[in-house]
Amino acid sequence: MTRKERPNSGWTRVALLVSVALSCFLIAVGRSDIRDGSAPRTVTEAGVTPLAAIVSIPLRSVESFFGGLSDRASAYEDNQALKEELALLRERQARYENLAMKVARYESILGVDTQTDIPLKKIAARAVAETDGPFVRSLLINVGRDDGVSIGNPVMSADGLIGHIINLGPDSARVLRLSDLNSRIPVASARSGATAILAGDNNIRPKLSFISQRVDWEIGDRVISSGDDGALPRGLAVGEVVRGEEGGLRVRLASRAHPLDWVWVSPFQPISAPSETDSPEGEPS
Amino acid sequence: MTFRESAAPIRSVWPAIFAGFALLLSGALSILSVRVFGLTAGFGFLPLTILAIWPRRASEVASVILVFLAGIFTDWATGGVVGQWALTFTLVWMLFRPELREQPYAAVKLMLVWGLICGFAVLLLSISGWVVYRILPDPTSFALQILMATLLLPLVLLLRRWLAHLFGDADEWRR
Repeated sequence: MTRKERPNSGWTRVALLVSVALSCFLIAVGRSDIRDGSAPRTVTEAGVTPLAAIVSIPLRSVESFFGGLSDRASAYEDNQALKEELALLRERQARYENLAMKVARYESILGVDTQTDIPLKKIAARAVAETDGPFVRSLLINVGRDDGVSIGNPVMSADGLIGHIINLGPDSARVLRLSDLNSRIPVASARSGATAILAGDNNIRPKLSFISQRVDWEIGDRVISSGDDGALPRGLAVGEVVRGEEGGLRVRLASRAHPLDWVWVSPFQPISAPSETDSPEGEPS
Repeated sequence: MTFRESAAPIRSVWPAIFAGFALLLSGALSILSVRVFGLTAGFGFLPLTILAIWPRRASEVASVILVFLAGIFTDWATGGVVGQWALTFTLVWMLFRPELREQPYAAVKLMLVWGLICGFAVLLLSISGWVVYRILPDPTSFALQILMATLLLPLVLLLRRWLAHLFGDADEWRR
């Protein structure tokens, strides 16, 4: 090698000082949330997504292997539970079909549409990387703007809501998970209709906050998205209410039931705010 | 060879570039995780294994620059606050400089250094995380990430030895 240097030169100290000062500066000025759609971050995510997709293949195999062991160990109990659930669901299905007919008839009489606003179209994606760090809970998926995904779209697994899109590239997107510190979504109890905010705090079970009708929340309640903010559709399965270690109410997320592999994005169009210029005809704007 | 001699070898740029590339790659892979028995173990501490075995003959200035840039890249890749990993990488490298390792390949010392690196990184990330988010980090997540990186450390070490063997000027950067 031609270019050589002696150790502990003054330049090393300068480089270290500059690096540490620059890092501290970046932390200080950086936004505390990860909703940073800056070009370098988007380009980095787009670059690492294919690599992560390749490396995650053997990792998913390992997960499947260990998951299979657990499933086999509880196969008999699961089978019994499923038979009981099936019997219950058959009865409920008959009742549901009757109710659906009644509702459809009332809707036609009243001229209203009460159907849920969950879009039927789904965009399948592969969860290539699951960042489950001490401060950040996010997911990288291999679909992006070119596939019709938009910022804010909800991301689901077969079990329930995982989170929503916060950063978008042409072929990749970052999903803010419900357990992340920055995640806040309005939810409702499927039993009572009581509403709350599901607030992530980097715990695997996010907490229920701003509960106006606490009396209507019970342990075991099924939690769904309420759609109150207009950003997420109403009725997405979120999880089940459990008692937290500190005594408050938390939610056991349905999406954590199985390792994430394939997910889908609902291309939901949020309700847009009325523009100030869209005033009724004749009225001054 | 005395410690003083081993502690002050002549430096060159190529080992730093090799190690910097490895750090960059491990930063990209640090976004991955594996879920076994209901626990998610992330690869977040994987880049620290590269720092633990950083070549002793790597140019220091080039090392600092590459370590810092790899830290910024890792921050972007993981979706965290920009500067957090950069600060951690730089300070870890600064405190556990390669020349401080008297016997680079002694297993016990390597594990001791590795334990200290993990402890120091946890401390740094906790402080910087507290400054930004005003919450304490999830200890389980840290523990699982350290466990995963510890399991991968021998593999990284073997990979490095193999690469050192593969290249003609191995002595320049394997130490």
